[in-house]
Amino acid sequence: MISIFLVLLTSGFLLYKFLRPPNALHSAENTGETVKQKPVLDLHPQIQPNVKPIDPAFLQHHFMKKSIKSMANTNE
Amino acid sequence: MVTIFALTVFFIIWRPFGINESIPTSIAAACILLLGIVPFKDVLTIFETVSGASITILSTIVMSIVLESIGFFRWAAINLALKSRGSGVLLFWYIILLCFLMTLFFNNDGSILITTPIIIQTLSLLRLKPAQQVPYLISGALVATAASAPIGVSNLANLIALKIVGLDLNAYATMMFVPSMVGIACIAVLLYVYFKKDIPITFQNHSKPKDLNNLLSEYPTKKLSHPLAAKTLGQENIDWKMFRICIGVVVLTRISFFALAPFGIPTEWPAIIGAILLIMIRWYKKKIGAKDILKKSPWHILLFAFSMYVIIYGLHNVGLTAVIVDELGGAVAKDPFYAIFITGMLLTVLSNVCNNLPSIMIGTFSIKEMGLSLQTMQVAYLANVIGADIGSLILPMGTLATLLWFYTLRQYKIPMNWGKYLRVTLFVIPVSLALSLLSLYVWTTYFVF
Repeated sequence: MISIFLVLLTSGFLLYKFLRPPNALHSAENTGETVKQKPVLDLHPQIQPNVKPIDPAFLQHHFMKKSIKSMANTNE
Repeated sequence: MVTIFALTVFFIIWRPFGINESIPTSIAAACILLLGIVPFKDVLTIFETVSGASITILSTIVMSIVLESIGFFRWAAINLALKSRGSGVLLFWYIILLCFLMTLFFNNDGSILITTPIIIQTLSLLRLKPAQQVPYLISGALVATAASAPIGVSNLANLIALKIVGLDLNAYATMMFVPSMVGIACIAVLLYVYFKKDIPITFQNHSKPKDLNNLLSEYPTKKLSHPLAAKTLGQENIDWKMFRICIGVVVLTRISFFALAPFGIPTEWPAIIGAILLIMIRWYKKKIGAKDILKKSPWHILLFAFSMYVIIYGLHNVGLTAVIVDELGGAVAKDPFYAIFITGMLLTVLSNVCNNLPSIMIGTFSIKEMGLSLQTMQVAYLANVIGADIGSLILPMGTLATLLWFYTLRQYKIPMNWGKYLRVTLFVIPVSLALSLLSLYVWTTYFVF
């Protein structure tokens, strides 16, 4: 009888391994967070976009002397 | 009587308009009772014989329905895909193991209904085409069905026959576990040899599923979802405590069958308690009542088992079992070796012609009538079980579980026909059957008695 108990306990443990939510989700237990879907644009967290806003004075200076037509011709 | 029996088996296998298998058996049983082939006074005795086994199986099915409704099985496909680490061979053995375990803790029909969609989900995640899925699916189905032999509680027919010959669960497991495991191992190895060329060494499209999110983002399509699943993956918090409690209840229920058997407590009691416990846990944690259980549970099992027993009792009363006793009784009584091989082969033939549930009852009635010694009767009964659980796998109509498997594959549009199935089973089953029967003889003769 003891042998069948051991067989069932071992088998139960194996079944648990097959059916339990995967290890990757285990961290969600403490935080209570659900698993997030992978974002479409997957940037590395340390990479920051290196973009500076354009100075409005520069834009005014650059475009005020040009007509729409000339801007279209130079593809600006 | 033989015509009624033949028509009943024909309708169970054909199931026109998807009718429940209990309808033809109930009509046949009613005819037999009305014709007086089985007297009405025996109805209560028959009900007592089959009710315990039916309630045990019914409770196990209720447990699997409760677990399914809380998403208990939803991670199995992802786990299989992750654990296989891109290896087709590893995946093959994991599928075999999962199917075996599911039958060990639930029952053969339930295991087929739960694991077949899981295997299809896993293989679809790994982007195998439907034709490439066949080796895994056949292997899983054969092992899941054969796995009902090692312990007596995984199969309705085994439980009913167990009561007829007066064996308890522990004695059954002591004599049967090793020989049937030899048979199951042989089936698994032969299946691997047969499908070795068809099993991909690695998965090209999904060679190493490193990131669970990759799988999850592909997973929740309607096509891949489990038929009984309520929500898609990743949509709700995981209650780990509830998960662990539930698996604990399943394992403890199984253990208590064996622990309580020496005290004369019938199997249906721990089974009922286990099912009620799971329903209560679900109610406490999820606030879900038992209404869906009442709707989904296959209550007809009780009627099916009762009607089938009436039919077999009718065949017994008109002298069918007497024919078997006259023809084979002398040879069976000679020696346990003859008893094992003759009854095992008889049950294999009977099961493949007219399904294993009626066959095991016919076989058990015949053994009881042969006037065998207790030891020979018990080994002959165990050989019956091997014939009904392993030998019956040659043709799809041999077991209800295989028929259910074919039905599930059709729903998922997996290409499968009787010819393909037969080519595999003719290679695998006869050798495994012979080895199981031989192991039963060696084990019971030299290690048990």
